[in-house]
Amino acid sequence: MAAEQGQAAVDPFGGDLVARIAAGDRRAEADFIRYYERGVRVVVRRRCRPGDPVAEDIAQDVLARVLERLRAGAIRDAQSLPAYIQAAIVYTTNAEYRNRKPTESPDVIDDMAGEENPVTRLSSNQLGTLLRALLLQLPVARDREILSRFYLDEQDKEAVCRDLGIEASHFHRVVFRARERFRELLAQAGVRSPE
Amino acid sequence: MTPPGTTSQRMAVWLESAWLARYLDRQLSGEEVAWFEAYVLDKPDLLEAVEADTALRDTLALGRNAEARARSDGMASSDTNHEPKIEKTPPARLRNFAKLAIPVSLAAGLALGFLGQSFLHPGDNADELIGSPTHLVFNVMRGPSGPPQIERPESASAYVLVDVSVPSAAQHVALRMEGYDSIPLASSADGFASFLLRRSTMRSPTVAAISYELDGARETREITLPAMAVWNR
Repeated sequence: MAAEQGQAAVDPFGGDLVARIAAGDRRAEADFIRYYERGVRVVVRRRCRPGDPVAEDIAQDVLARVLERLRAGAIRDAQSLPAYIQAAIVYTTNAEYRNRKPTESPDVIDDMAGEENPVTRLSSNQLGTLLRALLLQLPVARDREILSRFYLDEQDKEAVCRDLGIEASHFHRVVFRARERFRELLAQAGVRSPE
Repeated sequence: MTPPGTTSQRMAVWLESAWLARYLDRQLSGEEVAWFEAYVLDKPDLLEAVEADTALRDTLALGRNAEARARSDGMASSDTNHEPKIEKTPPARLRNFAKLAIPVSLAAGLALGFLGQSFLHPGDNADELIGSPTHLVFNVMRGPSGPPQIERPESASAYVLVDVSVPSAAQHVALRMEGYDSIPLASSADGFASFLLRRSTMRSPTVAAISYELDGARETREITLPAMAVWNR
């Protein structure tokens, strides 16, 4: 790990990916997908509701839309490509949730996720009990509370710190440790996080 | 935070870690989130950190949702007849560890206190009490460590506190750094080995090795201490 202030990222495509796609180079299109696919999936999943299987479709949709714009020559500045992709992710994700039926409750999504996710191939009831038991096994009681509040209830840092009496400056460290301890328990129990 | 430039250039490691930490802690503004998400798109090491955090969120949500479904099916958690047989006491390793937790924690505190004392300059009040020093946190439990989480990089403290996460059951933890003799480290009750480094020694990235015994085998993990700004004191 070197100090990399101001160091230009290596461009694996010689800096002309955008122009090559606009010129109809199919190999450049494959390079684009290969280069950005993982990043798009990760950011889309981050922006989707937990375990929502639609994340995969959204990621594909984003890549297809951006590729379409690249083919049309609508994006000319290679430097602006990441920002364009990020904006497409936000737009597509927001549109997905905005367009869902108002009567569709998050439970529907949970049920859909349950069928798709490898972890939920276990009996979902057993899994719930197992995860609850693992949470109870966390050696620091505050870990349970902070993980539930921060990740599940999406309480903000200020609220969590206020309610649990945590110094704001210690927040990141406390969450970091809680995460690691829970991951360790998951690993010991042979539970893998959803991929 | 002000985005430091284009997303195609990598920030300094400490700055990147600060952005990542604030992103994961949901402390960035909407504009900052947009910039950072564009920045991480083609950076596998940062994507890995975001992915791990999202996976944890999803796992926790799965547990809560499955529990809710069980309740709705009439299988409330209080109905133990329907619960699978799960050992609710901590694993043996944790139980054994708990017995050691207090003495180890005390030892760690004493060791840190001793190190702190030995670094102090008699009569220099500015160094006798150090508040909010720069704090680096490394995670080496799942293979090679990426960049550390960096808290308070702007601190004017002459020392940097370094925490390295180690498995709870790790024994005989030791730190080896180029130019220094190997030193033993006590791990705290919550699984961290800590040491202090004079900031002025961190002018360039330095590789250090943390080794420990786990289940009878000796394991070594490398960490890279980033270059830190050195203040005129």
